[in-house]
Amino acid sequence: MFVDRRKILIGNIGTGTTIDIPLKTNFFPVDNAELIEDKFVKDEIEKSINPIVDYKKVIFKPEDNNGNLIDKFKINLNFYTPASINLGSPQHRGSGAESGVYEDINFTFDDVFCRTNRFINSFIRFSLYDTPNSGQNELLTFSDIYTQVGTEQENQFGFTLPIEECPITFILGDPVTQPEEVHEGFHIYWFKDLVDNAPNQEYEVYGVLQFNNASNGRVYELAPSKDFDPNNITISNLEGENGILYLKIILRNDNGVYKYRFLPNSRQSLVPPGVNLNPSGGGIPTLTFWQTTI
Amino acid sequence: MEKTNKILLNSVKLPDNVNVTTQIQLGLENTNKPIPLNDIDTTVSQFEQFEKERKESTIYRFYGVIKPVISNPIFNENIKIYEDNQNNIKTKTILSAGIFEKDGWVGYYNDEPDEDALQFNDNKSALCDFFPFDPGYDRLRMLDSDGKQNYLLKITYPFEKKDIQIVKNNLGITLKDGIPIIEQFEIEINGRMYVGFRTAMNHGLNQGDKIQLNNFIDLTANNTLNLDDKFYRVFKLGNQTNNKKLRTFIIDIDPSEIGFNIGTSTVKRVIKDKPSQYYVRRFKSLTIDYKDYDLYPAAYGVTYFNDDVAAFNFKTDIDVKNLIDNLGRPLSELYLTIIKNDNDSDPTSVNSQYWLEQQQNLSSTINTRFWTPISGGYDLENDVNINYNIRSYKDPNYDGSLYYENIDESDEFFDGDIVEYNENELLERRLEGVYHRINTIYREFLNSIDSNKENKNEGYIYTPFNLIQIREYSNYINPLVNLQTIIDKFNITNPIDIVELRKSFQIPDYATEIATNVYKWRDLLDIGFVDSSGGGVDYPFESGAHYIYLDKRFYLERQDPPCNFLLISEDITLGASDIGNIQQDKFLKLLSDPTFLRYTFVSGPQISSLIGSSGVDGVYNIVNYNGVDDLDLEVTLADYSGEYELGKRDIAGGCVDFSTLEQNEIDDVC
Repeated sequence: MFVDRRKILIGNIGTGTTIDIPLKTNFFPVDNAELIEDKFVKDEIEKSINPIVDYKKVIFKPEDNNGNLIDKFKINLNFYTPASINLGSPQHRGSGAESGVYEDINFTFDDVFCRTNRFINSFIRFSLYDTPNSGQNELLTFSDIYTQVGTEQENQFGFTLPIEECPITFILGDPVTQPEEVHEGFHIYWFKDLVDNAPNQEYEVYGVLQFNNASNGRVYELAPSKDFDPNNITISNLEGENGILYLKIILRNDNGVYKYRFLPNSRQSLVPPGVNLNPSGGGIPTLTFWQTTI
Repeated sequence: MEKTNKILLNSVKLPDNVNVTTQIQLGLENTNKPIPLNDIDTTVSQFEQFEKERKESTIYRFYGVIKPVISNPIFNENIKIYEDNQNNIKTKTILSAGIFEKDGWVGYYNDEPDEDALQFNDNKSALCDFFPFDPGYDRLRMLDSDGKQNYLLKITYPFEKKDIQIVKNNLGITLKDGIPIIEQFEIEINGRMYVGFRTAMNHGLNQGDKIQLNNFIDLTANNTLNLDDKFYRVFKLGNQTNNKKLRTFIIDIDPSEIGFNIGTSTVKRVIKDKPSQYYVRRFKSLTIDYKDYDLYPAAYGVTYFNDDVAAFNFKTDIDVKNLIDNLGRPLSELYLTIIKNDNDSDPTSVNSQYWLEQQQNLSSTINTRFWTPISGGYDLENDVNINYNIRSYKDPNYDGSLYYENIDESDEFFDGDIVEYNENELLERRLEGVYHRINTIYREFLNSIDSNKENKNEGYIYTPFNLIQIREYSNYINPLVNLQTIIDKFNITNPIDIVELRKSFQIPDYATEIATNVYKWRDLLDIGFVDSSGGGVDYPFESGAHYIYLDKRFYLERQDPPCNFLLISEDITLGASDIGNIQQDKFLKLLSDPTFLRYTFVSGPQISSLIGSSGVDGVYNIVNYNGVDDLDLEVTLADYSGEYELGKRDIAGGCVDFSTLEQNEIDDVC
């Protein structure tokens, strides 16, 4: 507060003198209305408006371990064989990274040959999550891939294979370079700015695969690793960065080309590996998933 | 408020209590309280906020479809290329009878599965599959499965203008001098003679328009036409048959009183005594390469002609902030630019290898290419005095003509359309769109590859620039703003003050200064605002960007489709007199020519005497006829011709009238 200080020499004024102290305080009813309306309200309005969020999505194309784009890949599903389940000792079919056969999951030759509803309505759902912990993660997106009867399910004459030989495989291909293949699930569509602004322009998501069997209504959880004991499956075995269930996928901006690659953890890389993007001999890149729960 | 205080200098009034210098501290305290305000309620308009963000945004995102009309009537050779068991590249000529057209594509139906099973390594019979001749699907379709895109998409905008010489002359007369005249004609209307003129390009005139005639010849005795000072009106458009309205016009002058000089006589449209400007717009690319967009099959996308519709989505955002066009205005137009590339096929494929092998003796600058570098021009009148006539490219009569040359899809700058601009209209009008032209190296240098063959100089042409209207100008011109009167009145001399004055009158940067500090302009309409005449643009605004859906067509057309044909005959004599099978080889060659129509036996008795024969020596297998008796044949071929001399044509244009020929319907080729 401003104070007007004055020195008064008493000698000059004598006794009994009154001194007028010229302190005039004229109070004007000045309030903050102008400031409030000019700045405060505008600021508050600005604060109340949501920032612009960029919802632009782009196509991410799969790449192999060397960063080269791949134009198709195969998904093998391997289930416990019915015979081994009956014996109380569930075993997957074969010992390598191979597919099971449709007989293992309750389908008949007629189902495949005639494309019955219960066959063609069965599908795999490949779901993407933000973290590998089911208690706290959020579902980001998913793709449904329906059963296929392609060249792998037919012999050289184009006839459907016997059900005990008919592999549970799904081939996904690029819509431009592989027009004959199924394209659903081949690309991942995700927000461009999230990837562009991620560290190293690499954005991590985690994929989980389920098979929805329309012949018996069951949903099977499958993992890209055989490194588990079917009779003793624990959450810690399945989840987390080192669990077998979640397959890490890196979405990245490679100098303007948007790609994704599967990045298996150490258990998913054990032989037989669930992820084989650079098969020896130049075969088709393959993901193999094994049934977990019975 | 006033307050008076009495101050007793000492506590009591006694003699000892003398006054000494005393300091009195006055404690002045004041407590302030803001006057309480009422609750303030403010309504935030979502619409206004949306409009605000929309107006402020200069980001554009483009997506859409391209509906192509593409086929290969101009092909290298009618041959089948394949690899044998020893991986040797082999060819087999497809005889004329085996050449088919499917959805506009020219090729053959495979009749020998083994060769193509090897070629495609699919372990399946390729019997009855249709294969186009090269260039085929893998080089021309908007989408093909070899992983090599055949065209590059770019977003471009007009950024500068240039001048060109449309009609050859030695006086330096160019497009800036007006639209060149190439022909004068006379026309009688209601018993009165009028003069008409044909222009080299679209004139953009309408009936009643005022025009300025430059470098015409006044043939009147006393120069009464007064061509230098007088403007004439367009009496009518069209020629004597009322056709060609875009390139002919008539004015009310006696044809005997006026003449013209080709190359120097030009005409300009005039609005309110202001002649128009004519120039070429040059385009600049805002995107670089294939990484800027995704190209993929459109769902259920097939055109009427069975071409796959291609969908695209530009991943790269286009920011037009601070960009100005060739007239210094904010951008109102962008262009989806489609350019043919050369790297359109797998270089290791059998077909690619074959053509490279054929061309290996050509110059090293071209022998590794499949396509010629792109040339550019316009669809102009057929006159040898004209430059930049794209349809005349490689016509020997046009030797020395100018064209845009060596265009490449990787270029940043491209020559574009011819436009007219008038300062009293303040709008650009497009008169001619630019065309790009390509041909295969093999066809264009065929004579150098095989001296027995002539060059096939007809190529493909297409229009690369597709308009995207991002803003529109208002349908009226703002009233003149004369700052000079204010400057004079208040004697303003400081340039900064003049700039401020200009701002206060909201004169945009792009306003045209028609005199010192006198401006006029058209307002750029806000996005979403549609004026009374329907002008304006409206498109979605989302995520801080404008989304514009483009539905464009791409037509790859023939440079000069031959609409005429002549029937030509060759006499062949097969039999014992054909020493060394010269005639037989010639007959085979004629049979394999795509223009082959038929052969007939010259003599009826001759054929009847042979009718009993059979087997390889018999008339039943005429190609291998080795009979003793001579057999005279007349082979008929078609000689197709277009407007220009572009060498041999293998396939007729769609415009040709075959009704004079006997035609056979072939239902089932397999």
